[in-house]
Amino acid sequence: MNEVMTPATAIPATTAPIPPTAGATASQADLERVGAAFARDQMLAMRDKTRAAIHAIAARATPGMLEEDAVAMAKDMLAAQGMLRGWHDVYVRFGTNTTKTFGAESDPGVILGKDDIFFLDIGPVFQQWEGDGGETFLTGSDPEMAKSAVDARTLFHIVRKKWKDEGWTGRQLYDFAAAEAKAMGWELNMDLSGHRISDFPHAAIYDGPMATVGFCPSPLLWVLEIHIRHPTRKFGAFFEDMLLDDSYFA
Amino acid sequence: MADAAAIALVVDFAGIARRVEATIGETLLIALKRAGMPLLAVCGGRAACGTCLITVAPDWLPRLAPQSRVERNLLGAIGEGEEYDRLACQITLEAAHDGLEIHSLD
Repeated sequence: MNEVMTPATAIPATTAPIPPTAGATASQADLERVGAAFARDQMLAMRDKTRAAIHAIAARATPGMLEEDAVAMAKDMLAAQGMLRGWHDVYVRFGTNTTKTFGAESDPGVILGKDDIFFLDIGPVFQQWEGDGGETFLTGSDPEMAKSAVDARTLFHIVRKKWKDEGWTGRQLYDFAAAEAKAMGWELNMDLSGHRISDFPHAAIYDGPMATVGFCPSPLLWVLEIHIRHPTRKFGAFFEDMLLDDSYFA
Repeated sequence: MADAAAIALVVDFAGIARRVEATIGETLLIALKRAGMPLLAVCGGRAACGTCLITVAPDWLPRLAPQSRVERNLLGAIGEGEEYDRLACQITLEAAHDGLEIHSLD
């Protein structure tokens, strides 16, 4: 299973989006439709561009930088690569703002410290194809922060293995993720619980969570998100990437 | 207007002019979505996606707040940015916008 596929069903432009609350009852065929511009190779290329952009932006985020300036810098860097348009906004979260959920406004004026944590969450669009990715970075050696960054990535892959090896449903994957996060000592933010990705805009098909779907998501069409928070300290960590088999994570 | 906090917009959609009620202080995007206009606005009104693009009647453009750097850059990046194009999510409605005419919606 889970060979990267090329979906054959292009969604007509006039078809209404499936409501985000209907993920549990809608069919896999309906939730996994794609648009006319969907192309396997372009989606994979977009994934590579997204991950490269994340690392390039992170490399220029330095202690003393204001979070708002980092967001502006990130947008400028994405614009330089033809990726200013995003299906969601550019999130660079510093320090205490790493506990904020998707779409929430950051507390203003947060400056990246010398022993601090930050993450990126970007959803750029290049021409007609969406990317989406997230990753957590450190500026120092705080052991709990370091563990959170490692654990977010590790949990992503633990859950992805269940998807690949067991063929679990979206609901099963996130029930498992929440339990595993707790066992690791973290709280999983279920507001960030996976979603579709496609040619732009996937929201014209389905903009709801993967965590409610009752089937095993197909590769290339969904992203898996892991946002964990420290139970008492005010920081969190995030990792996000496409659902793909091991060969794409070498 | 019966309600001092309300204004009316004139929206020409698919060649049919329609009157849309709006509330001062909300964004044009919210008013248009509430009226059932087919704007995806996939980024949630953060000037990131460009799917709430509208065209403002020329006479009205000077009466709107100018584009921010973010809006200007995005319109340029997506190859739109015609003279009268704006993002509905970036226009906060004021009393002076009573009667605002929007020529077309993409």
